[in-house]
Amino acid sequence: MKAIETINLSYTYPDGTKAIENINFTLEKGKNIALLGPNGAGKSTLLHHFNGLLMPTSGKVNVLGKEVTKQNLDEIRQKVGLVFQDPDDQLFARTVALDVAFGPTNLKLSKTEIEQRVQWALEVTELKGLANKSPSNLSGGQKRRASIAGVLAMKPEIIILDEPMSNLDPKTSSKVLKLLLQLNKELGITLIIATHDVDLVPLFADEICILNKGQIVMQGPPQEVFANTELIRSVDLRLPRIAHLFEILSKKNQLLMDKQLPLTIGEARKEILEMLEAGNKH
Amino acid sequence: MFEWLYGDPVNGMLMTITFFTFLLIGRQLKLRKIAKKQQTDQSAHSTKQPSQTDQPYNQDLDKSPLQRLDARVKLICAIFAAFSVIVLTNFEYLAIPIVVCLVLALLSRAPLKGYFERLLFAFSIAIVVFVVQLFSGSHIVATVPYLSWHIYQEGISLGVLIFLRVLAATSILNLVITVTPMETLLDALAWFRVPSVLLDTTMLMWRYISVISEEKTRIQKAQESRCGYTKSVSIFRKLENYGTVGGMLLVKSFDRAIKVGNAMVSRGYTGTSSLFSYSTKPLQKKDIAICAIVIAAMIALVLLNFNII
Amino acid sequence: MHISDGILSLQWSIAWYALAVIFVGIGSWKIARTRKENPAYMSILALMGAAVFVISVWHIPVPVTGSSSHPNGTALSSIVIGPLATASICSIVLFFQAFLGHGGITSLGANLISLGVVGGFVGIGVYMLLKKLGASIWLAAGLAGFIGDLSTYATTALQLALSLNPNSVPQHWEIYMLGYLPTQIPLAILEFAFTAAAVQYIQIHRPEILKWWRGGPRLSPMVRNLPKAVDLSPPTNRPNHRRPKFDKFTKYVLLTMTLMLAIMLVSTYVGVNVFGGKMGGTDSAVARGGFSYLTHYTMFDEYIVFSIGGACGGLLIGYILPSIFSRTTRKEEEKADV
Repeated sequence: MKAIETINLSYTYPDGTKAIENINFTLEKGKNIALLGPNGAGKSTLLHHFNGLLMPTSGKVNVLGKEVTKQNLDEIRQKVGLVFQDPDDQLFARTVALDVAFGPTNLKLSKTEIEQRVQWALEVTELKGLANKSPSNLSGGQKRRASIAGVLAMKPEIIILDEPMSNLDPKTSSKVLKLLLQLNKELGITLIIATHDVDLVPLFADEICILNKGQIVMQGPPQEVFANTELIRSVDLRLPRIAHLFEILSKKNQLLMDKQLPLTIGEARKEILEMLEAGNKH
Repeated sequence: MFEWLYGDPVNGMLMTITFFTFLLIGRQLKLRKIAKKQQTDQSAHSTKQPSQTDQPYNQDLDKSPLQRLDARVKLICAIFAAFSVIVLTNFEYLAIPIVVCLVLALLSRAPLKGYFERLLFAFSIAIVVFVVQLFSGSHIVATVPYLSWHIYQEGISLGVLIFLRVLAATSILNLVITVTPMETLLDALAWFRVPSVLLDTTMLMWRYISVISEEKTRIQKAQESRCGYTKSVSIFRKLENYGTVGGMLLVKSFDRAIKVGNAMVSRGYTGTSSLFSYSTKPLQKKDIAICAIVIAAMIALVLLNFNII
Repeated sequence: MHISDGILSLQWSIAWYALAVIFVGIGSWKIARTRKENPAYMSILALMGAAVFVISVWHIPVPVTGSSSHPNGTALSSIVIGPLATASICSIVLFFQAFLGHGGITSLGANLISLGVVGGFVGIGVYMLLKKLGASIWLAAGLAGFIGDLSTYATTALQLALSLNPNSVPQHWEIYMLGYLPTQIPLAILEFAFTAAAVQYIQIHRPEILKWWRGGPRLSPMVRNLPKAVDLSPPTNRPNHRRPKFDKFTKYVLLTMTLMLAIMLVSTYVGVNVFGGKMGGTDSAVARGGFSYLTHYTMFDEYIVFSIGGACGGLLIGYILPSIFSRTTRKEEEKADV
């Protein structure tokens, strides 16, 4: 069963602007996909279809085998959690614990179950000590983790995150990334991450989907997508810095010829060591 | 030559004169305060917590017994006392709540700057009303020289009475406001069956007021950096700039509101239940006792005032 | 202007509270009902209310007097969330303001009526009336703020007179209003400019914010109307298809005329009723100036003479004006190019 599948999904705004057109998007369960695209490509619009915030103008959205309709929105929203870009938009309650409990309370669970879920969510996101703090007193990274905890407490099978690493310092950013990887690998939650941060994408994504002007331009594993350098640049994106460096080296200094561009520091290191060994042999 | 000035017009003109005079005095004070603040601002530059004035209560000062008292008790006592004070007619009895509240406020270890600021506001209105009342009545007590304006005895008594009532009622309410945090007050109101719709809106507003206030500061700084408020800008252009900031705040809040609504709905909110949970601890005997004592004291004061006991 | 605690007598304090409770009750019921149909309504109301609160505690310089004060914001609030919601939100705003030192708790009911109910309803009434008559948005909003402000002060003066001087309410109502007038007229002008600029901004950038509350919950924005991507093109006035446009000069002339009429009315009323002056009869200048033969016919001649004189003068000057001021029109064109 596919986690999410859209069939000819289109959405037009009430004033006539076409946001997305004929999207056929598929996502397997347990995968971790990064959604890339320039500003105004329609990323948010597409993501809002996955939990029923928007209804398609034409086409269908299937989540975990079921079609998203007005009748089963409650079910869908429990299965698909959406973490918004600005945590201040999501954290509205008096304390962190009360905010995390908001989701389970709406699911009409028993008091003990709610309490358990809140404790568990706070533990996973390492916010146990801040349970009784007001959201306005938290730092940026803590707010981000609190908003993830709020969605996690509903025990969804899919979590969508809209630019989770924006506005964070490097250390906090990597902490959040580690948390997301933990959710994906240990808890088996399917993740969709919309982001601009091309350098981080190869570190976590199993697949990349590029959106431009409301249509899917390319979807596939990172190696495949980033090999297509002209396409990437034509949609106002760029290669990861490491890959760009090796691209320049390949074109101008004839290093690396025809091999796949390394996308991460680890891959690059391996490549360089191999090249040095090969050079030593001559 | 001044025959046409006698009678009722005197009231209005006096009110005008006092208003203008106090306006100028207040303005001088404020200008001096701004000059002083600019000096201290340059030495201590902090950008966090720009909304200090919007959060009057410091939540870490939960120490003194007055603050630990249940909010419902405080609310009941305050309202009962305020309404009792309004009916009193004896000056000495009116002075009692003023002094008691001041003493309690000083003892309560809560920040007092707000207490006196509010008192000052009430004071300024009370003075004006006092002066207005001076000039009406029937028994002439004194006459202002040169202008032959009469000061009447009834006027003096009524003026003083209202002045003291204002001070007393404001002191009582200031005390309660200073020692009660906002959240406990809302919990108490929920216990009194105030509709949860209203309390939810209050709580949401409270949460986002600091966010919007920070945004306002940022936008204003951006405008200031482009000379939006310098001396060469006319007052109407300045007001237009302020109005634009106001419009921007509304537009940004609207956009944020849609996102907040989306976030709430994404977590399963259907609009049928209350957004927040309000809970109060069970009432202790100590709280009920204090409430009873205060109510009894106020009733006694009123009865004493009207010579019933 | 807020009334602080202790001024109102017990009966009046409770009476105004009772009236306020009615309005807040109706408002809360409507909010609860709308909330069921559109959960996002709660967040819109709360955040717009928070924005209005932030505006209402904001120190802005006052024209003429040079001090600074806070705009009321009730007219602005009425225009963007509707008058009934304004009344409910105003109760919360007053509640917060009591915490900050403005106004009081026992007088909250009275303040709610003067600010939230009268200010809100009068404000939106003036705004809609002026828009129907074809005025531009900034003028409609500005006058809504101005007149809404003045009506709030009139109500406050009435509340004071009713409570403090119940035996001579009409006279003391006038006295309080007159006494307030010097400080409140500049504040009303502040409200005019602020509301006009704010609503003008909203009209240019997001006009749907001015209309959403009138359509009921169906048209209320929820997730369907996501904000569009940022539009970086220079703002243009969206054309009003149905209403005639007044150009700038006409607006200024109408404004000046209204202000002058208002001042003349007020000072005449003041002159007759407070200072015991006399009205009617021949204007002494006309009589002394030798035109007394005009008054022999009917007592309406005086009016005819002045009307004809005004018409001729106006016609002449209006005819000459555009050529004299062509310099200024050219300047405006240059501004528009830049």
